[in-house]
Amino acid sequence: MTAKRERLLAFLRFLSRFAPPWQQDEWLREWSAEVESAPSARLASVIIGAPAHVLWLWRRQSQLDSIGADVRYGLRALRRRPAFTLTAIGTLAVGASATTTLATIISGVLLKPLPFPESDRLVRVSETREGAAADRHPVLVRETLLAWRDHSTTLTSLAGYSGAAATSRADVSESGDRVRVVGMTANLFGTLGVRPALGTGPAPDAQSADRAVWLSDAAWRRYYQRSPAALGRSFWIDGETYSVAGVMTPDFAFPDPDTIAWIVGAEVRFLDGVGRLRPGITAAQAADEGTARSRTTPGLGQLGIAVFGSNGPARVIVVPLLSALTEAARPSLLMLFVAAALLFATGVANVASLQLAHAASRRREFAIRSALGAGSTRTIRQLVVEHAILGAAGAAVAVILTLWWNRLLPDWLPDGFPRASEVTIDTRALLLTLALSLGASQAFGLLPLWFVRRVRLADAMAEDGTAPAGGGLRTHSGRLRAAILAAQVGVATLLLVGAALLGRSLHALSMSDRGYDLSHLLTAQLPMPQHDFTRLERIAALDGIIARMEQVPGVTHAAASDILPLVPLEFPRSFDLPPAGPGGAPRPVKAASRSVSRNYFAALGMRVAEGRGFTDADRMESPPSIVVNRAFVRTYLTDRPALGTSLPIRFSREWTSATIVGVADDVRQQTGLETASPQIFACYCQMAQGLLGDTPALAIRTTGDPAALAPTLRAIVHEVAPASGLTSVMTMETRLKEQLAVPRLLAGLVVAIGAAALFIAAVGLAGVLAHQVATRSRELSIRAALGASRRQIAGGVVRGALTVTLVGASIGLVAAFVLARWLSTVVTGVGVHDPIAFVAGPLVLLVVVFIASAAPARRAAAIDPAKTLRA
Amino acid sequence: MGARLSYSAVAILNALAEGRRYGFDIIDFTGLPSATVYPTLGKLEDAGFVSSTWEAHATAVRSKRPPRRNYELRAAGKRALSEGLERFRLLRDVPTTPAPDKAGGR
Repeated sequence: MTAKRERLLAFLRFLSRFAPPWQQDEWLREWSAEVESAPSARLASVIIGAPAHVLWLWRRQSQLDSIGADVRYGLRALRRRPAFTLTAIGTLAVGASATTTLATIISGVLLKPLPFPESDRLVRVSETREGAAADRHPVLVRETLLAWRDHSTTLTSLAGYSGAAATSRADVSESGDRVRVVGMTANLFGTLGVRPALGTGPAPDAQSADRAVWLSDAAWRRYYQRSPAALGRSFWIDGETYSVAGVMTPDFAFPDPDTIAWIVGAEVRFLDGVGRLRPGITAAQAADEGTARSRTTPGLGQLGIAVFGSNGPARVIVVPLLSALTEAARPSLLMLFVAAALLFATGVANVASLQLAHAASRRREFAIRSALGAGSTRTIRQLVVEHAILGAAGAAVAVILTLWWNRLLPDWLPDGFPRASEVTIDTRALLLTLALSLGASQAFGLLPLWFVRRVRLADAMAEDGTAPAGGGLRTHSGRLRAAILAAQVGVATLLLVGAALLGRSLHALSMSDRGYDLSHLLTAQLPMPQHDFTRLERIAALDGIIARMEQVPGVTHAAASDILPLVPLEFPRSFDLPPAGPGGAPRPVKAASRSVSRNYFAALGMRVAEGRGFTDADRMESPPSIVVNRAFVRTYLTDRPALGTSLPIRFSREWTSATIVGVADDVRQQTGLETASPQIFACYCQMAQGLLGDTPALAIRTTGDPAALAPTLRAIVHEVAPASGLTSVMTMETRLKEQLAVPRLLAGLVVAIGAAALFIAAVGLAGVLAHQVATRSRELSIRAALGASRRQIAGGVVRGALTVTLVGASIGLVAAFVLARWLSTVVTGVGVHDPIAFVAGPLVLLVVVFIASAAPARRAAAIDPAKTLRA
Repeated sequence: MGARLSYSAVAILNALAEGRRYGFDIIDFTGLPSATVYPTLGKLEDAGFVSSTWEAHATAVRSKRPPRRNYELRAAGKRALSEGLERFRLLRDVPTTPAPDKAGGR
């Protein structure tokens, strides 16, 4: 090639840098091909033609002054950066849809009014006693309800109800289903402001003796195929005959969607209370009145101690019904929402950081465009349009994702999640998705905008991207990117600490020593309604099943009890413990009680620490024996030997007292982490009245897979007690797994969000470092030329990364420390300021930062000063 | 690009119709300066009268030069050309010179 052509090609290369950036390559290729193949005589025309072409390209750009052209230009600009475009759209789509989905759940579950007229006036009414333990199911004492209901100045009405499992059937010949039935005061529907869709509600003076039942829409469909002729037909609940008096509307699900029937009659002493405030009355005013009314009722005596753990003055608690129904889900939902929003913010920050780096390299373009007369409004509009395209694309994907997630939601939400059916994607939710995506896209678009406004033509033209020695934190955009990065690291730290806390909590929950052996244990419930079984028949059936099961190969022990561990139910019991010696005062005792079969302890794998469990020696005619747990001994019997102590306790009517024959290790009945509470066990083999409950539980200890014995158990139950249907057959481990479903879901989601935030921070960090190394190549080369070793240069890069990380992580740790107390309701088993979680989170981050900074550091170390400085 | 094509635009369309493909070839054919030909080609492309493709790499390698950007008349361009030729009768009288072979050459 001739020297002239070479010079012309160099001229074209130089000139190409002034062409619109998205056309530079193409422009250079076209002109180079012409120059390399044109006859020499024509070459001179390149000197005029090529600059004229460049100028024309710019003029065309500024002439294309319509939004349509902006869109076309924007599309072209985005197509030229596919990696950035996909990152931005992905960030927007995932972030906006995750945030929307959680916002939808929060709106549907926590904010949407309950489906009752003037539902803001509905309140849950419960009571407690001064000095009572705080964490118990809220109840209203029947006497308070009666004393308050008819003369209330703060409530227009006050109703009570109580839900229970029952066996129902619409045809006597059917075997029946286990369902939830609510017994209620006659004014429950009126208090809520609902009427049946079919038939009429209970009359104000309706009695349980009327034997009327109101069915849910689902039950009406299931049992009567929605036939209006269902009214007046017979319906059996636990063997009692009721007449169908009405069918509720499809959206009526009170207190929960599982309830299928309501009957008048809540003859229990402790109820759930729901009231309707008079207009203008606050919950606190109602609580004051309730407290005063409750204190006019006679005291509960021993029962008060048994239920509340105290016999102090009554205190009534009134809270809005909506928050009462959703209080369990609220902390987790808010936590997830904050985590998702933080993830979204850190993702948007990442895209902003990418844009900022890009803006630095686009300064020349902006400068030339403004030199050609494109006003800054024009340039700004172009950028706004470019980001609106990103936002719209992100929104489109986000809407699809949101709809898809909403379809999956019912499977994700654990059973019993309150108001799950209220979570719906509506226009508002989709508008939110759109707003989030478009808003966020403009947010990260604003950074280059802000940058463009500072572009001065002379500066931009004089400054070559690789020229400045320095860079790093010395430039405005460098500092801004470092600040963004520190914030991202902070968010990642916060989320990682949260994830570590939840993970540690879950670990503690699943690994805790519950005092019994969960493995190789098959459990089931055996509903034996009073209508079908007398107490003695119940015991005979249970003993028969136990004896038959113990013959089955692979079964080591079979036992029965009125309640299983992990079932949040207890039979509280209280009595006065006589003093150990003369001169002492009797002490009020509160303990949970259980009636069990003889080999209960062996079947559950419970340790009997002192004395013995129940044996064949314990019979109806022998003196009553009881076993207490260590917590009972610790709480009440420190002043005397436990074994042989006689307690004035009456498990059965003929008992006057019972002697402690054994001390069992503590069993944690519920979460496995709660403080063990005092417990008393008695053998139902010594109780003429039989078991305490009518739905006993079976526990079968096996040598092999317990689930494999379920069919055998069913067959034996069917033979021995055909009137009883076995329910809830599952291994103890499955039971625990179900109980941990919510913590596991929560921990899983937060870990996923934390990992995503960590990934985003790592990508952001790697990007920032790579950009720094690229723009500082001249400076690094000078250092290398002056004798800095590769190690020192690479070290400098890693040090820079660590500085930003440490600043960000410190901010994140402080934030985590402050915010951790919000987690106290979802973190159990470890403290919310658990040191391991607070160390593990940042440690993971540090490792990832090292990995992310390795490649840029290597690149920095590999810079050849001779090459860079000559360029 | 307005409804009425300029003289140079019609001339370039005509060159393409006559089988000329790339910038300098068109310059040779039309005698227009390069400072006019390239922007006009750009305008014609924006208007949808002309499309451009990059020459196959193999062809370029055979001719020992980088691939050229080749322009081609589109249907709309052909219609615009016949209208334009009505207006600029002169062009019809331009003697047709045989198009050089594709490989071109220096």
